[in-house]
Amino acid sequence: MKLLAIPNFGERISPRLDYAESLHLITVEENSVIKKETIKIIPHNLLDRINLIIGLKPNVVICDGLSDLIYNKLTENKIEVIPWIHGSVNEIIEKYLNGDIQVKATKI
Amino acid sequence: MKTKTNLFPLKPPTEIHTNTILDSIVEGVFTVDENLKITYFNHAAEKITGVPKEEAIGQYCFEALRSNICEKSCPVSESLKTGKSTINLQVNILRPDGKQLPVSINASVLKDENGKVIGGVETFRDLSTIEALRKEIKKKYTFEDIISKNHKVLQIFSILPNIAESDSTVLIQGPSGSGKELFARAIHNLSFRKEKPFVAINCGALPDNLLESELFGYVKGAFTDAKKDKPGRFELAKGGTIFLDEVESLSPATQVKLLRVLQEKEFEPLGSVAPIKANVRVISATKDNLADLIRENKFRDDLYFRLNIMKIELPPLVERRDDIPLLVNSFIDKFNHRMGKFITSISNDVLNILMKHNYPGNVRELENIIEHAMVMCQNEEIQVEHLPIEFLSQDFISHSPKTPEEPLQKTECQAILEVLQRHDWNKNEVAEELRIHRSTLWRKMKKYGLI
Repeated sequence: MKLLAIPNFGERISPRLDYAESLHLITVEENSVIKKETIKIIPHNLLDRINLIIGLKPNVVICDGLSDLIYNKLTENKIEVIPWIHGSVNEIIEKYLNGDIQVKATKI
Repeated sequence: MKTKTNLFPLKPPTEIHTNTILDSIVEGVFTVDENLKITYFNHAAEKITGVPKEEAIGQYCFEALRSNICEKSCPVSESLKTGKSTINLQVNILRPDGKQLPVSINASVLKDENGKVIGGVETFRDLSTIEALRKEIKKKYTFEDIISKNHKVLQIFSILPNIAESDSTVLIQGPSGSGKELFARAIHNLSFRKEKPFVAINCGALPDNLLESELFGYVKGAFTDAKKDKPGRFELAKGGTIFLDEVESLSPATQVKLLRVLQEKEFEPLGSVAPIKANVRVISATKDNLADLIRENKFRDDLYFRLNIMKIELPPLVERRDDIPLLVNSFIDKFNHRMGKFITSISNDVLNILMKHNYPGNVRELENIIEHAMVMCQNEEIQVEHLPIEFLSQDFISHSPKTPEEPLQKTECQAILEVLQRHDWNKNEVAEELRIHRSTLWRKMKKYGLI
């Protein structure tokens, strides 16, 4: 069982994790989604935002753009980060379950 | 024969012409349809965002731009809803290479020839050069030879020109090694007396009888060894500034003589009966609170009031820790030049130790530590082992940052430390990046032993 955290902007992946206002939490098991919930993350500053995500204990964060600071803190806390992904959240989840998501080469 | 004048030499631009024009300007331009999908993306937009045109066309604009306000208050969406334009809104965008760019954006609706809204247009300008220049200017925390970005010292910087212009006496109060003489020199250099001498004397360094002759001079025959006239410091400083350091050390007798100079603007050398006009500005300095010495009858109150027309209080280095990285860099530059070395930096461990030390000797002590380290350092970066041993034994062991035990706290502490180091411990910039209030940052720094 894995917990995915995906910041969302409506049905799309949020363009920036640092400023996302909503986060999907998706529990997946054996290539299928068994639970999906959404939490608001509007009032959190960067430190609270990092602590909040770490505190949710996701195994994987799939997101679009993000700062080095968030990336470093999440990975230091053993959270796999798949950045620079954009598109529909549902399509991305499907791609993830099918093993079709590639981590793009980035500065990070 | 008359030639026919063409009244319309320019044909209306075709689409190709329009694209050529839009591709030749430095502002990024893109248009979107009513669903915020990009329909046009000019060359500058590609360059600024780092997103190729082919990729951008058909993409949602928030996925190409990734600005900090895309989700909260997209100006194009606002324009589509209200019909109103947005002008010169400053935001930051995130490029696919991870680089954040400050940009200024304008947004408005796009209408067809019938006035029907068909989408929106956004233009944006890269502000990174302007921002870099702004930061460069901000970084110029130098006033004469004094370096500081601490708000207390910057406040002093702001009033120094006025003080210098006034020609009143100045009393500088601050602990040893806090740079009192540098401030006195700065005042002199900014004053109309700058072309005349600046004469400094430490009143605590000489016995009283010698000090008097040093200050006021003597004439031939004033005492057994006075073979010829000797001008005093007041005379040597004629037209300029005299800096009396450790003024609290003056004996009661010398205090009376100094008071007379300040009141009458004249003095008499030892053994002389002819007064000499004192065209000198007096700047004095003390490490003690003279008001306390007055209460203990060790300092004359009338002299204190004469010396204290303008007062500058310098904070000890522990109250301006944010200056430490700046001062360290400045001392490295200074000693590189003096020692012919090419040391470029200090390790993070060294910086942490220096940030935690209490500096009873203030800036002078920090300077001495860096000088010692630079003598010991044989490579490009100063490491912990290059610091003085006694300094290490005090600080390295007892003042290392508190390591929070809770994993979340540890992450937060490390995150704050990382951003502090990136911004040279400038708390305003750190609070801005972390999007927390300065007081929250201060509270967290205190909690994690970073203050």
